[in-house]
Amino acid sequence: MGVWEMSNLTAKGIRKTYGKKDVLRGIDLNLESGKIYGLIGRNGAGKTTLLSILSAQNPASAGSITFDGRPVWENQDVLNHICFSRELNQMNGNNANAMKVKEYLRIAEIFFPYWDKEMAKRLIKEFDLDIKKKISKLSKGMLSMVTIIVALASKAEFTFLDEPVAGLDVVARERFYALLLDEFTETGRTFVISTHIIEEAADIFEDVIIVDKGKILLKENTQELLDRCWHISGHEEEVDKAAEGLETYNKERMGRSKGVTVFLKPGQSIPKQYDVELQKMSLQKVFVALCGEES
Amino acid sequence: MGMKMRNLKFWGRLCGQSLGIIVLGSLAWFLFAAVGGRKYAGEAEVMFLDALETFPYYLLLTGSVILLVMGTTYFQVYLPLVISMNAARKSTAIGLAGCIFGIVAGILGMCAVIWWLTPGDIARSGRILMPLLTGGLLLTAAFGLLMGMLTNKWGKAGLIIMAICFVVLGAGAGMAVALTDGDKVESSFRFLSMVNEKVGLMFLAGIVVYLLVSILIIRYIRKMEVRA
Amino acid sequence: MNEILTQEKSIYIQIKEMIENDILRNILLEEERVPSTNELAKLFAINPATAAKGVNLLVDEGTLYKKRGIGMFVTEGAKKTIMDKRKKHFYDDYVKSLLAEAGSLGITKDELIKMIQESKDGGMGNE
Repeated sequence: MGVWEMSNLTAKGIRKTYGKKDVLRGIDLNLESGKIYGLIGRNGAGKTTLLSILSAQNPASAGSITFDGRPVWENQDVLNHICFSRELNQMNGNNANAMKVKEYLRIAEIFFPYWDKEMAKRLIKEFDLDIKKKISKLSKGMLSMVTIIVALASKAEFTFLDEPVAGLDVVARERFYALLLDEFTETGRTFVISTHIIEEAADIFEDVIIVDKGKILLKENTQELLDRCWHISGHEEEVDKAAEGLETYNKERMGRSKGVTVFLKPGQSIPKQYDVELQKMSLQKVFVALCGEES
Repeated sequence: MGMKMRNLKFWGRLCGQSLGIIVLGSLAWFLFAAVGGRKYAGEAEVMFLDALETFPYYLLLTGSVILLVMGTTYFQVYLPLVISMNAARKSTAIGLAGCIFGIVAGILGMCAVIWWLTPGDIARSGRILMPLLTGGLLLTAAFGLLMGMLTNKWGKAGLIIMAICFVVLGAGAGMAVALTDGDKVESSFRFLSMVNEKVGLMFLAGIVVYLLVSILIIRYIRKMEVRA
Repeated sequence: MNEILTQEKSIYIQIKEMIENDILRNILLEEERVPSTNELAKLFAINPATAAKGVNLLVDEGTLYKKRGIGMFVTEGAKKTIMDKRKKHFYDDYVKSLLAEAGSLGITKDELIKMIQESKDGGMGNE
């Protein structure tokens, strides 16, 4: 595996416009190596576009992507350390589907300089994948498996996966998380995983990045984010007092009962004297609180 | 593995595969038409050597068709694929152009070998016409790449243009087949001699156009999006 | 060690408490090696950094110590330390909410004390 210790993949002022649509509206992001990042956001928020620009698969309309200060675009030395494994049916090539999996993997082996053939073989066996099959004949689950195999066997220092578990049943999903953790603990490669199945994956993300409407809403250590989010519920008068001065979201009411989500800023805490129920929130609930409301 | 090696491995293999298809396709067509057809005339082994000198034309025609088709296929399938695997665009574009050029060179090489080693009128005229044919093939290859680029950019519209090209090519093929027919050789040779004057031009035109198209596709690929 | 993680508390806190529980239950003995953060991460399918956070809390508290190149070990006397600490927090962790709940149900302190005295649970023996 290529060893660039403590590398940084940095995006500055990234904008992307398709026709009249502003998909990315000014993204500044710094990805440190040696972490598993979760990338979450609603459909259309710009997750896939962001990943594709970070990996130079698509050009940005404005802004730059650098790897330890060196530009990524058209820089083969840097590109060798990045892998964006995306779902095959997203590929532009309508005829790529006539290709056999075997051929696809053979090409991957040629172009990913750190490709681990043994690992690919092992994963093919474990997933029980028939590599003689044509891509067009694969089920959704098997397509996901091919994407995962390419991502893991590429042994690239920065590896991005766009919804890798779509199409996998829950047992296969858990197997994926285990494989990912195995690989991460062994090599310390950086992974950025975008997913809609937030709750399952939340535990494996060290940092979480939330993309909303083409901008980065937050990038934070998952545990620290969850530590500062609380759900306060009880009698509405008590709840209002307890939540006073705090950043609130998602107020729910039923009669005299009220529930609200609060985000504590550094130094803030919820006063203890009020008769309210304090509960922790899951990452999924936090995400919905932040991105669910229509502005 | 350095990038050059990777490119060579991938595009070189593709080039070889395409040449293989062309040779096999031409062979099948040739064996069916020339040998099978001549059998009716009752000539024996001499006929085979005789027919061999027309084989290059089968190569050229099959090759032209394949070059037109491959232009689109390579653009739509292999280009996005290779870029999605983080190959720099410039080297990918050069690889593509080189691959196609390799196919052209391979076809012409085979034609040259056959025509310089066989006797007969057709072989002789073939030797003389080599520059013309080279230019023609390069133009066809350039056209195929252009088609690929347009299909990539405009989707279905580009495909329709391609279909029209096939029709035109079919007419040209029909004409060419008629030319290899024995008694028409003299008249057609006279026609080609006229074009022969321009042989040098055709050759140059082919090379220049091919280079221009290569530059064009390099510039297009630089901005190309892998899946919009 | 093989409990399931819950939603109610931070994961790294749960890791910390699981290790403490195991020490109290003699599943982990003093001077014995504790599973590494990587092993914990794999066991619970969590990020190693999160597991490390929980383990580091224990190191800070002196419950565990690091032997370079080998791993984490349970400190001598850790069991007693944990018990003392939990005893200190017993009131806040358990009694407070017990009193609050009893209060909201109208159970008096005397009734509560009677309940405790007559109870056969807890293995503490009767007065």
